[in-house]
Amino acid sequence: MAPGDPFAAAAPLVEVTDLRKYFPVRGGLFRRVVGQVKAVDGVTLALRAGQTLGLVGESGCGKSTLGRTILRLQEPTSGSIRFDGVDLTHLTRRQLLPWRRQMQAVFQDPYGSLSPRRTVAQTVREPLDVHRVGTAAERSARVAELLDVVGLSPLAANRYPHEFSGGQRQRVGIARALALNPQFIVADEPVSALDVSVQSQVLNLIARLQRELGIAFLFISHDLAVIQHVSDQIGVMYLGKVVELAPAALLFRKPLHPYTEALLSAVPQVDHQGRKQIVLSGDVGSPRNPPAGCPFHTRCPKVMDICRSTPPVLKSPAGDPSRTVACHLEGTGP
Amino acid sequence: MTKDLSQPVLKVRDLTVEFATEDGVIRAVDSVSFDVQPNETLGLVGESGCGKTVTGLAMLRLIPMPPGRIASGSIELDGRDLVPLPDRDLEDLRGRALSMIFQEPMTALNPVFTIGNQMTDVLCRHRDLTRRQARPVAAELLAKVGIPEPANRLDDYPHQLSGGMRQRVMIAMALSCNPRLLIADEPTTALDVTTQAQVLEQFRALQAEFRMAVILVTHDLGVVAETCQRALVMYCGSIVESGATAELFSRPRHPYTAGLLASIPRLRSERLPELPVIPGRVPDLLNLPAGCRFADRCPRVQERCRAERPVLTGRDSGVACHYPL
Repeated sequence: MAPGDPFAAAAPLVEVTDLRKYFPVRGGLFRRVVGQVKAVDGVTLALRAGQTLGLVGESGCGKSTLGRTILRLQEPTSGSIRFDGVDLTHLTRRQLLPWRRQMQAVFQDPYGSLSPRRTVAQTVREPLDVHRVGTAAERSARVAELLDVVGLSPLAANRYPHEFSGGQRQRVGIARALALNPQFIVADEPVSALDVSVQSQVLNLIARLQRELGIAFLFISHDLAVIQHVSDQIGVMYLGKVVELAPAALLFRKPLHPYTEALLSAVPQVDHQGRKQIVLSGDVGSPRNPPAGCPFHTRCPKVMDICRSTPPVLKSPAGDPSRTVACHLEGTGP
Repeated sequence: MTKDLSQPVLKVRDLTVEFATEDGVIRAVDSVSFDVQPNETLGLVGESGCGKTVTGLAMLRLIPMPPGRIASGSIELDGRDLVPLPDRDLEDLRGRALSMIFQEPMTALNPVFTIGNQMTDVLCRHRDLTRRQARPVAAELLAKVGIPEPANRLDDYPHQLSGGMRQRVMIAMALSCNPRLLIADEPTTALDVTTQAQVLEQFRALQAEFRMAVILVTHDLGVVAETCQRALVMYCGSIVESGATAELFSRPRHPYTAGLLASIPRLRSERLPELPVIPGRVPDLLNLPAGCRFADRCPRVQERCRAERPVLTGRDSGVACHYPL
């Protein structure tokens, strides 16, 4: 497929169907299972090659667990994950290995995700060693090339993570993720720990990699402004469910779900004149004991009777097949 | 204490704070001067390491000493300099005239005591109430910061509350003695955006009610724009620009302020191909350039900038730049 042309491949690269990840809650004397945290509760998504899907939501909404479950860093409770048409859900670790080369991750904490005892070159080279790619000389050449791609000086190779700033460490993490030429990268809050002036440098790097290498990204963030800068599509999560999924520009111009609307209006803006803020009441419900009906009904300013009893279904509203939303107001009941 | 509305509540002059490290002395705050007016919210913005938090801590003399020390300058609260004050007098002021809210409410609250216990402690210490008298006052304060069923919450431990609720408890405690000046260090940074919006709204209402001056320390320019009347932008320990927030953000004069504003991703329906960036990185505080500290990253840099350090042109509204925008 030609990089830069997101429509070259018709079939989705990553296809997630009704994915669930429940964590048992244990209690009592015998540590019996007394309940379940429904971190991811029936998520269906598709991502085409070279596309970026942004996933936004507040802490505890299940966005990180979803990312980890798609990579099978966590075993799904039910549902399926297909990559390039192949069902990965039940593959053994060994069977999964060739697919791991295609799927990489960049994590939030550039301090915690790099080994302090390895030089930058060793860290970036590790995936090449694990997957036995090329000769020793070829691996070294590839490391040099990768450092160049992410904008680090060749001198960085023999230095240790503590010698670098947060932004530079995140570049090392990105270089490591790129080492095996993956088709898909899950980036979980990759710029959240960085200062604004550095954050924009790293965001530009990610945007460039998308364009030049045609990598598909699942970009997870709590920051809507960051998400919209890199995403083609945006999914909004609330209590383990995707409540709205739309092309980025459309989501910002015309959010349909009241939660999306509140989320957009809550972001403090430098140029905030003439903006009316929707301040929600109450706290997010518990994923251990989510509210009946629509998960958002306890805080929704537009709540109706039906919302308290019947969960809405994520589907396209009448007359707009480009997006989906789960809200009774949009007539997306079961 | 007199409440003269024509005089600044706080006058900081030439404040310099230094820390001794293994590699040498670091000047975290370098000759900073500013005023805080009654009922005003002053924003202190900048990126990590710029000295904004240390400046905030210095107002309560909470700098860990050693390794830190206030090397010079004065901090006048209602005309009284806090720098030479004996610890005992200072303890009287802290919690009463001066209050502080921190970023992480979980670490600022004591996990082994109930909310009520911690709140009544403050009230007993500073307002001469008995425990029995203090309890309803504490419940009333919790109600003011928007906590439902306040009387029941008094018996909760901090871990039983959500992050937003804990931060509200911190605000209630900070307000309990009707302080003249409140220092809020990243009070909403650990909160989700919708919770942040709730807390900030509450905060604005309370400030009007309690008529106190606030110094809001934050890295979030959006929060400053929506909460502060005036702001100081800090870089490498110094104020590089000050002014009314609306003015400062619509017509920044220092290239650093302008760069910072340009580089934040905004909510727009169109996607930019590239975000503007500030090239390079913050210089090492142990090895600062001789002239302007922003010179190496500045798009407008000229010879003079590398030789001569610019000074802030005005305390209330000014810029420290030889070639401002």
